[in-house]
Amino acid sequence: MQYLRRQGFQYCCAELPFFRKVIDVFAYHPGRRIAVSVEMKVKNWRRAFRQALVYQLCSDYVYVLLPEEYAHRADIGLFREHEVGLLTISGVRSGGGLSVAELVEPRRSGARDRKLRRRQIDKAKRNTT
Amino acid sequence: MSVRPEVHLRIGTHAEKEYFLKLGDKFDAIIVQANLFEATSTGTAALLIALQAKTAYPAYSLDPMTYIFGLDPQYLMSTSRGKLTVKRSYRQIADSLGAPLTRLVGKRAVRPGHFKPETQRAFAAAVARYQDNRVRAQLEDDPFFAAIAEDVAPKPAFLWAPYFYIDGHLEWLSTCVQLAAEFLAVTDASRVAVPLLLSEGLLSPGNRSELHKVIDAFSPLKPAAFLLWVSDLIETGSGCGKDQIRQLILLIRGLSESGAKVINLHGGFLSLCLTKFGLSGISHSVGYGEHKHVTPVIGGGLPPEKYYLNPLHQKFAVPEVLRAIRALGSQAFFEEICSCPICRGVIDSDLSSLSKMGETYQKYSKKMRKDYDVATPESIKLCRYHYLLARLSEVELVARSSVEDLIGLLRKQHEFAEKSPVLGYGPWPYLSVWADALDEALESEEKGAEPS
Repeated sequence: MQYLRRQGFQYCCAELPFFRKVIDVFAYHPGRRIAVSVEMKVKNWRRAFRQALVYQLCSDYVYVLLPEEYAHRADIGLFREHEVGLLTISGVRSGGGLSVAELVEPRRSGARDRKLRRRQIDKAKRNTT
Repeated sequence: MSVRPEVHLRIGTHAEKEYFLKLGDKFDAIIVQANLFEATSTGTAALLIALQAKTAYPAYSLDPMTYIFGLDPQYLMSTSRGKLTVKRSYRQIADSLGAPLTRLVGKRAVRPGHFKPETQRAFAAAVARYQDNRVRAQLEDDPFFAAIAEDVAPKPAFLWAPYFYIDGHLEWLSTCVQLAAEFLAVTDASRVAVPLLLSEGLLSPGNRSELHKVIDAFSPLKPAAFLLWVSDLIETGSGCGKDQIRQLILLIRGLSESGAKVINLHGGFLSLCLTKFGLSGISHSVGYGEHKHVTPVIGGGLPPEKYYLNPLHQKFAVPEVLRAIRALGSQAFFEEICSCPICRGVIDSDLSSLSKMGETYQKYSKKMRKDYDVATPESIKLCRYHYLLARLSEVELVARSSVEDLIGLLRKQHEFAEKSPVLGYGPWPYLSVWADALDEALESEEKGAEPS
């Protein structure tokens, strides 16, 4: 969340429902008009990837966030092919400062649905305190 | 020869009655579980009367659920005012069916040894009487129907013989067969259906000789039908591989050789395809129940509503479906995915309107102390009507297709599924497993051999 807030995403929500699923982090940047979804998983990157594909319906960009030590298992080619970004996080175990790195840059989602995106942004605005 | 597979629709709760009133007559029969009847006897009897008034329908049957008394008694209990007691519905079934259930209910699971040869006939007769008379008795108790109960009470289309859970040890086998034989002796055999509730393990290749024992014991009974229930056999799951399907076909062929119908009580599209190999039909509930474990689910409610994706013969969450079909236009959707009136009405010309079938609203959970999303009643309705219509179109598809056609279709659908990572179709490619199993069964049939 801090990573996104630092980049100017004013509306950041953890665990924002999308149908009966829950997006781990959904953020909206009103200035750039960009909606981003992040799906986090500790180990199962395939599951995270599948969910990220679904979140492409309501987001401009989607990411999967994995701990740095497990990121090498992910199929980078698949992420690129389906426009999904990959973030890694390190420093969780050491207890020191966390750092986030972008391993794969996402492309703008070609699957986004105008109505679903609008609705999700409105929900994020309502849920941002 | 083209034979239309039968579909028996099982009513799970009274909330489902509108589906039965609107579409029930498109199906071959209704199954009412005895515990539902006992819990809501006035409502269920009224529903059957309403269905009868609508058409010549219903062909219904009343599942006496005798197997439940052979399980751990905890499954029959509920807590009332801090006290653990036998649920009223099960108590009433036990009281209607008599010894040995009345004595043991809530205390111990009934075992094969509790059925002494001299008591088997009385028990079988009680099970038959219960099914034949229960609806009429209910109407007789109702002041509105009492005077005409005899005339209007619908009779069950067939009667279920008593049945219990047969696992790989075959402990219950001989008792179940004896009870079924007694049942046939006390009733009109042309109305008797003998249920076989088997463990999934009996379909594993290592249990081939046990499966043959089951076939050899039941097939000489020659009832009108066998009702097959393999506990928790999930057609789309990895537990249903080629080996298991081969054994299932062996079982179906063995049971149907005597001329009896064989109905899979919990089956989906694979079972519909198996009507080409001796199965007569399937049964399930409104949108669920294509598989069922012998031990009942305690609490938890009904499974979340999902969209039945016709080409994959499985249900998926609506957003997953929306994502998977994103590249299609609405016309292509109607041609390749579904063209039922529900989908046409919801989608019209905007594919994203399919999201209506996954609409949710927020509800506060005191237990979780937070809001959670639940499906709206409207989306539940849409998904369930779509499911029922999709099933009916699958029935027609199977009826007009040859086995070769179905194999070809499954292989095509497998390719479609593989292209869509969002559906999470892999790593168990059930569509190609089904195609391979049908292919093998066809080959063995042509050679006139038992599947190897």
